[in-house]
Amino acid sequence: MGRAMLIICSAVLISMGFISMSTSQQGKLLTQNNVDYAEFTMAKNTAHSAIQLAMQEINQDDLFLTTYHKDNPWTGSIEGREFDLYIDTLNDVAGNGFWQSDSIRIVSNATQYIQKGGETDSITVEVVSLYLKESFSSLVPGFEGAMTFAADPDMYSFSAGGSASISGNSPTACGPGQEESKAGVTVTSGSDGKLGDLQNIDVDADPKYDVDPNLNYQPTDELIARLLNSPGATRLSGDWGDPLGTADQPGVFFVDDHMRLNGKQKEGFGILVVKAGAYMEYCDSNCTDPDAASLSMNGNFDWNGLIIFEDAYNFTGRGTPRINGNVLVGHTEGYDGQPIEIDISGNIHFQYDCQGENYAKMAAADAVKQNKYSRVVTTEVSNYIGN
Amino acid sequence: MNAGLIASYVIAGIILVSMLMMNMRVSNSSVELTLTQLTREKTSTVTDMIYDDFPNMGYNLTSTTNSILTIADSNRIQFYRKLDKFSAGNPELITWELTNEPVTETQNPNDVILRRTVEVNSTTEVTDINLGVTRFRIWYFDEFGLSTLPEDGEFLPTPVGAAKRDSVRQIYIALELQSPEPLNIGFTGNSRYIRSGWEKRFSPGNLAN
Repeated sequence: MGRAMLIICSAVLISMGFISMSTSQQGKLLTQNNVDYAEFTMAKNTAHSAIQLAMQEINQDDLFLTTYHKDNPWTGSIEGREFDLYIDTLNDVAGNGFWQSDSIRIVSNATQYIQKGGETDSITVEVVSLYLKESFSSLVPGFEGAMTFAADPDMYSFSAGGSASISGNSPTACGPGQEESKAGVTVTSGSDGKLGDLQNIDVDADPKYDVDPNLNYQPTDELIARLLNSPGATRLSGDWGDPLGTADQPGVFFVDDHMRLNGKQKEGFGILVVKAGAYMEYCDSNCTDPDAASLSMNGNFDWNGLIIFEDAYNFTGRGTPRINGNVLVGHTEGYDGQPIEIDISGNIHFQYDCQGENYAKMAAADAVKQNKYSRVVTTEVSNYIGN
Repeated sequence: MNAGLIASYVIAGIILVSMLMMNMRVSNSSVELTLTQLTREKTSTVTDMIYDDFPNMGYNLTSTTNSILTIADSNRIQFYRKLDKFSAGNPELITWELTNEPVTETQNPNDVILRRTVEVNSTTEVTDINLGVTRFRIWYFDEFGLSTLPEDGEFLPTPVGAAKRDSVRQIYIALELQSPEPLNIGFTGNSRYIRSGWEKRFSPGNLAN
């Protein structure tokens, strides 16, 4: 009996062992499904995290954009998971200036290796994201002509005399989105009857005068507010003898007090903002008496870019000063000061110029170093590779 | 006969019967586990397709598609997505729909065809998924995770109208598959189908733009 019991018990134990092994194996398979999903999720997180890290690098160093291309991917690991990432600049950087919009495509691959029964499998997740940097220069108003009056018709008046002249034909080549010829003077609706003496001066443009009902100063006041607080802007005051920007590095200059250019500058580049209460004069001989909120140019001085008169204006030109770009006159919303007096006299020449528009955009982008990219669109693909 | 020998036979008999019972149960359990595993594998196949489509809705080469969601119903969803991520061209119009058409190859009377349709440039490609899908339910959430019509409860009411489709930010999907063959339970002749459920709330990145 004892021997029979031993045989029976042994058989039972062996059977139980087989059953146990079988159920254990099936349990493992069920668990493996969950593990695969977790690994896939982790690989996807790694690919997204790598893009976030790359964006931080780009914000710190523009060279990152062009260093890590398809043939030289940026590699690394995050929590033990390898990734490689490259940036397709889509030729925007090469084709456009630094002050213009830029889009980039980032391709990030993350790989998670999995050990399965002595073999190595891998999960690869590829995330592709398109990012766009809308340059700060987009806030620079498009040049509507040599002179633009974006002000309420009741808020300004014209008077002109002397040998002042206006041209709406750009002397320099224009890029995409720019036009070779523009109106000499552009005004808001209802202003065409107020052109007054301005119609008596020499205007070489087609049309000479244009009425644009959509003309509005409001986007420009936002630009000025941002520029005013930017570290790259220069506030001019007192006697000023330093340069006013260069063609390679145009500047942003504010005048909100009495200041005098002492004649050492023959030209300036970028954006010049003359605000209410300012008096700016350029003298290489005798200067005029200060008059609130005005720009007085005596001599041969060229400004290349944009001149903005906000809430005040009194412009006098003697000698042969020249504005290559655009003069924009406007008032802020709710302005209740004196009406703007536009007094053009002397030999000043207003020249619409595409290159002047570029100088203005360069100056704005350089003053406010905006390097913020925003995601436009994303796609992700996963590949499970069993070896 | 020796009493000890008789007792030994009785004990052996009890053990053998017990082993047979246990073997049947384990066998049944094994079948259930196998069916569960197979059903899960099928669920995984379907969810792999969903994982590929839903997070990528609205993708186009240089921007999101002009329109993303075009149909947003409880059992039918249609959206644009560019399948080839690096080439220009028209994005594909993808439709997922739980039909009323039964799967004829199985014994299960509950499973129906889940249909994925891809349309682009006047061509249509239809994929019928007949892996035992018995449920494919979709809910839609706005950016606050709630319906924009409080009287309709937590979810955006379906079908989501054209005016509200742009406010959809999240999509919740519940999927259920059942085994093609029934599993017998005990000796009573009762049977049931193995179920495998999957639920996921997607936040497609391109819907947030």
